[in-house]
Amino acid sequence: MNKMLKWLIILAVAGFAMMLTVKIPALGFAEASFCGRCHAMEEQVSTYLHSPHANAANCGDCHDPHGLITGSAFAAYTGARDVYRVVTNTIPAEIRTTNLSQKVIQDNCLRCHGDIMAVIGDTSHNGGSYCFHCHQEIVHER
Amino acid sequence: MSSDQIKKVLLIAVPVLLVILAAAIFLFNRNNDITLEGPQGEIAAHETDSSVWGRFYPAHWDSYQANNYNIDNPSHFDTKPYLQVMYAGTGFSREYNEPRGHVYSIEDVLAIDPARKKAGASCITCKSTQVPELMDKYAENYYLMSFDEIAGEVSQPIGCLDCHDPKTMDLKLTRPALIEALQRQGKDIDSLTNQELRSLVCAQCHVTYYFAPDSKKITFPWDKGLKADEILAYYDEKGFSEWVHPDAGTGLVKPRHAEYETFMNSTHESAGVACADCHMPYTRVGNKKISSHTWQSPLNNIEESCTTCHRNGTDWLIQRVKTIQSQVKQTQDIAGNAVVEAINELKISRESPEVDQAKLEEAMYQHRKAQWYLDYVAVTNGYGFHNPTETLNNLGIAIDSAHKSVQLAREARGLK
Repeated sequence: MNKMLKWLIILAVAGFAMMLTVKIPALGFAEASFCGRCHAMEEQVSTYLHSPHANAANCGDCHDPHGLITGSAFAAYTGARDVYRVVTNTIPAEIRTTNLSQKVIQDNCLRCHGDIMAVIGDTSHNGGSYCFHCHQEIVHER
Repeated sequence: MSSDQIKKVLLIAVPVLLVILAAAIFLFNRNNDITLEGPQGEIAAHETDSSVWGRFYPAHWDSYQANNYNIDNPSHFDTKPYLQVMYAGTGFSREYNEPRGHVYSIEDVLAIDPARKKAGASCITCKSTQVPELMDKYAENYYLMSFDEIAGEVSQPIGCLDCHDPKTMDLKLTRPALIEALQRQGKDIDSLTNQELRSLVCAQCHVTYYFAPDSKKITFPWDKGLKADEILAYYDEKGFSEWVHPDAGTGLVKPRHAEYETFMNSTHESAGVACADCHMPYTRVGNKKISSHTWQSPLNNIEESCTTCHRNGTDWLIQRVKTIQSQVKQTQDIAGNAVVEAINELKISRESPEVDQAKLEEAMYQHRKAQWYLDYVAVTNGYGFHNPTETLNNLGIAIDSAHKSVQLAREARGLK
């Protein structure tokens, strides 16, 4: 029993550490070169690479929460979900952001563009529009 | 290593690791902070002088001041002569000019033909930012006061306090007619979303309304719905007419700038766009963006208003808008001429000796309907762009009703 517990703890610690690797830039798990390995992301990645954002932000900078724990947990969940969709061949024809994902992206818009938006504030405040409702094609198509 | 040495290493390593961890968390969170400016200063709860607000919000004030450049106030009769025939019997037939915008609201309303001032204090309701204060002062008597009595008490045109809470700068409704209309629809005023408010603050004034017969209170005829047919049904049910046309003898109702009603359920509105998204687009001023307070046609600043969403090029976009507006104008002119024809036929029939009264009544109702639908389109800014399909649908009904009116009026005096 004691041995079992020991292994469980080791597994949990190792799993947690592996999850955190998403946030280690050198490993590139948030880079387009990693996300673009799936066919499903081809259109997004190839148009993103031609956008000005390609010089300043990678996929994870916009699509994952910035926090170390929250960001890596979110990425681990969405990453696992996406892998499941790919291996079971159930990728939706039209890939759309979830409600949670929209909030994550909005925060990340403001994290970099907070200066220019300082006066206007968070446009999504109290049922408002997200930045990308209008600026739809600014980073990648679809 | 002995256990002593391990202890020594741990004694140094553990605090060092803790400091690194704390620093990492601190730096992560600091980078995660989104620095947004809140209100820039304390503005008095009833500050009606917009220039006082302007000291704290200079960029907004500049864009508000740019409204001063809108100096044209052409007569609607130059481009829509049929309106003058339709409005016979009202002050509108004397003069109906395009006003010059929010900053000139008081000057323009003071300059209208005296025949149009009969409605009294109500006329000033949407012309001054001091009106909510005066409504508090005079309560229900406000609407019963004369034009000149209230006009003498206002000096500040439409400004900041009309749409903003001076404490939080959040959007706020200040005109009772809209608040009451929404409450009759069962809406909770306190739980409106920001995106709804970005249209509703405009809907305080850019809507159709009427003066309730006895109290003269400004009332929105929205209880059956916001669309032209539902509003006409509301008036018909009440048997309400604003005036009787002296030539046609028809009891008529007058629509007013129904921009908000027209915009509702349009392609843009159902896609989640608000009035302010096109008419007050986020505009770069130096290193900041602000919501422009220069109220104008979005075509004047198309790169801020349209191209944020529509990446098809400004030439193409302008062409699309012009096409829609010229088609609406053409159809509107057809309807206008048809309504004038109905008025002329009704006049002849009424003067004819043996006239079939029942047929004449029917002809008058068709005239009331035709004029309502046409006027609803004609007095709404934008030549139908706020909702092209609905506008053309309304004009179609106007043309059909006018033709029916002509036919019935002719039959009433024995013609086929």
